[in-house]
Amino acid sequence: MFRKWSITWRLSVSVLLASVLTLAAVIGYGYIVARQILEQEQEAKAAQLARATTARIELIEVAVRKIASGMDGQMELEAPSRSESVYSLLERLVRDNEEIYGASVALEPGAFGYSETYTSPYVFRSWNQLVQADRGKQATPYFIQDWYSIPQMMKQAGWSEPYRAEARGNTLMVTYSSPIHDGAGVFRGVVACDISLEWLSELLKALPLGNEGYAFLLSKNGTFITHPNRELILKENIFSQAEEQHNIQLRTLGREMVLGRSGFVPTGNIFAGQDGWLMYRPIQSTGWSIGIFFPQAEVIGKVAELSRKEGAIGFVGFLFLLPVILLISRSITGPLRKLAEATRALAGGDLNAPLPQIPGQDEVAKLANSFAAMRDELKKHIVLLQDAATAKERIESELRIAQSIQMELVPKTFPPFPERRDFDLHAMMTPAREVGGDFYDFMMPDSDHLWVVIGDVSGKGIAAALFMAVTRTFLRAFVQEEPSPGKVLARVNNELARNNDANMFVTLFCGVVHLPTGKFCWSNGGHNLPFLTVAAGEPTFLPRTRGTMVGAMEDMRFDEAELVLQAGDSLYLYTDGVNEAMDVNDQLFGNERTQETLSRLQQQDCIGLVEGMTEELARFTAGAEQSDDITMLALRYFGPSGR
Amino acid sequence: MAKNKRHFPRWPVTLLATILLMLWTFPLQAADLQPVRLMLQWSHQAQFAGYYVALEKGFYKDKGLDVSIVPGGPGLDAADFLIRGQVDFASLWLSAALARSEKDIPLVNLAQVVNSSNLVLMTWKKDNISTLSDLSGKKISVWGGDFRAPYAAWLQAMNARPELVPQYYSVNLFLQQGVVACSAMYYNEVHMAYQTGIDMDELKLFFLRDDEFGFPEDGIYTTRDALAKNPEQARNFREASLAGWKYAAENPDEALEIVMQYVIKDNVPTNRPHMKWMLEKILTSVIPGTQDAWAFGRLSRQDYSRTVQVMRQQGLLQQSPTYEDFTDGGLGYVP
Repeated sequence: MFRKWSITWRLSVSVLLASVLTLAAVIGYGYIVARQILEQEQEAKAAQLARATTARIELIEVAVRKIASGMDGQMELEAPSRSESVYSLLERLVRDNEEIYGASVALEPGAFGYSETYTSPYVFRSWNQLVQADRGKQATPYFIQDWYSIPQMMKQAGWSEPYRAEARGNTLMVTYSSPIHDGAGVFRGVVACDISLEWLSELLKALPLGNEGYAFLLSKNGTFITHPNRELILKENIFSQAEEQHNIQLRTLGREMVLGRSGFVPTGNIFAGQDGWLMYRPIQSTGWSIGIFFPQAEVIGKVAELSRKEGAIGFVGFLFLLPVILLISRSITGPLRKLAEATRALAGGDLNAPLPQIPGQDEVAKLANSFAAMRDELKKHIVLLQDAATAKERIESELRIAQSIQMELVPKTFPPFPERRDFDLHAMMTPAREVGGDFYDFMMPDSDHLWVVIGDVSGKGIAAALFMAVTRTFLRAFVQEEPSPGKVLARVNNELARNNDANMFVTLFCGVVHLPTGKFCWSNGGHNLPFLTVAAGEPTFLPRTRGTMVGAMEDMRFDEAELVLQAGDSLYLYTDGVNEAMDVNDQLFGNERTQETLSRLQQQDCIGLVEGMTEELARFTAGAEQSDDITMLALRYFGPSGR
Repeated sequence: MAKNKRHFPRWPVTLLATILLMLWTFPLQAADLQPVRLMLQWSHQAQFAGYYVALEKGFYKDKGLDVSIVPGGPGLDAADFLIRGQVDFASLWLSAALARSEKDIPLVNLAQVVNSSNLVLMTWKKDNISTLSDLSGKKISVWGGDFRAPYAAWLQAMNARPELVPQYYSVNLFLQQGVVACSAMYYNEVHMAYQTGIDMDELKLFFLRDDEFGFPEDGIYTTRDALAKNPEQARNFREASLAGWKYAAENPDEALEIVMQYVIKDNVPTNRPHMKWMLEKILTSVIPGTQDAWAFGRLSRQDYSRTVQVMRQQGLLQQSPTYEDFTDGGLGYVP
């Protein structure tokens, strides 16, 4: 599937996929790390806030304890008549400690000589003024209140549970109270400082906890002393909420808190239905616990926001990346495609089809350059090929010229001497593809002598043809001057041998018939011996005469021989194209087969003989390429009286 | 809850409450309903669920009664209001009703709503109090007033000699381990302790009723004079109230919703799970189970005698009305 896509798409998809994965990994890692760091920071911050708040609350206690510890001694000294001084003492306490809503000394009946009924000098804030009152005169007796009775029973100072002070405008309070004992250790009353929950709420509300984070105080009983949801105070507590929600986890957490333990725990969604962490610390002196809740959304929100932004930037990056990848891959595949098209054009034979111009030094540019180089080489090669073809054509035309020279030089009109009745003559030359140097000739310098010549120039081509022409010219010239074939050959030899730089030579058979008598005189310059067929006899070679190839060396001697032809005798002259003709199996035609054929054709006239021999050769070679000129000449003598 | 018997001048509040009640009930008089006031021993809570239900479900109205329910509280003693004629009916503790009958004017028990005792002594399991006598010499806190007598009689009978310290509104002294045991209502303080994070298995409870020291608790009372004046109204009120309780027992979820309306309206410092617990527990002492010898809404002669006997023993009662006088004022009220 992937393999089927174009490089552009494969590249784009691969790069984008890899980029997305990398980005995802980076964002994911960043998210986790940032989240851990933020959590740690949050924990540190929570711990610090908890400590600071705890210290602030404990300060109140220190102040109250100081007053209380001084109080019992003072009470004894100041005593009944000086109750004004008790009020001023309380006023000073309240005025100096903004967190104290009201302070009182609540006494047992008759203590320190005070009234026999319950008496409690009390100073509290009301509309920014300090008001004095006697709590002993309130409807609800103070001795039944926890802030009085518990220090009495426990013989130690402590904080009350939060309560609604109905006598004081339903203010929600907690009271720190310390028992007073006289010199004899008898309980005489308490010093009590009321702290408005309002003040504690403000204290906690002022903590920098973000939009959704909040802090709360739990009393020893798990009651909310402060809570951002004021409806919960006094009514609900952490355990009632746990019970309402059937949430054992919350109850366990509440127990941890009221038992004075510390922790920083993920709360799941037990607070306000949202995931978060709760830091809780005991406030040792009060027995309370401070809880600081951080919603996960707020902590994670920042990280998530960061991740979202990173993702968005990444996405925009991808949007830019995509065209860039497409551009780059196009810059690679575009030229490649053009190259491919050009190649097709090239393959189609259009070497001049334009090649794409690719600037630069990159691989594709190099490929294009190589391609151009290849094209140029190809062009050159083709030019060379064309040159070679031209050359070959020239050669071939040369060969044609040579052939035509060769053919022009031999007489081709048959019968050559139609008026003569005393002999019959026919000749034929079939040049091979490569022009050879065969030739034949016959002439009658006078009416009584008939010269016949057959030759074979060494070598082939123009040179051989020209050499043959020269030979023939000499022959023709000398035949006019010399009556003797041997002398003719000697003179031709000398002429040819002189200035024969090419070391060419020719085999020549030259004979002359004295027609009135039938005397046949001949000389042979290295040529195949012709056949003589006497009437009613088998063909035989003419007798051998001494003589070498003509033109090789000057001053050679060519012997002559002679015999008398009877009427009906025939001569058969030929070149080695006949007896050395080869069939497809490289078998030679051979002298014997020549002889047999001649014998078979004995009754034919000269044309029939030549054509019969030619047919026989064709049959023998049977399609094998003709390797040499085939030249033959047949002469039949009919006697002086003619046929 | 603890009942404080001390008297404090509360007349301005009383006057105001009365005026407000009159103003509130005025328009309803036009519908030919008889305006009737019921006062509770304490602030609104599930302990009085049946009355709220009777009112909200229209049971009172069906009987031609336009009932307003007045909550009690610290310093607001329902018996005082009843005796002074400021309310027509009151929910009272049996022993309190007996005592006030003798001390002030005869009161009549129209119905005994809570027949089974809810009083317990709450101890820490870790203190290993296996029997009451283990408390001897130890400090325990017990409510005063009407609640003191049953505990005192019980401890005495069980041969326990603890040092008793007064217990007021809260059980915080016990929670802070200032005492080894404290008095508690099963339907209230026990669960309050649970709501301070104490698990039930950390507590050991001693039920007074397990030692035959459980006495009937809340009942509906009126004065004998008022009953004599309008026995029909009393009967109607009784029947509608009991119908309310019955309905609450049959529809506890709906009853809880109704209770919560009252609690929220009056800003009572409590919460739904606590009210749920209270409703469940109080209903078991209102509606008799198969094991219970008492009948729904009726004060049994036997329980009456036991209560009188213990009160006498504790010196809280010299004379006592006959069962018949106490339950119908000798007026042939009982159907």
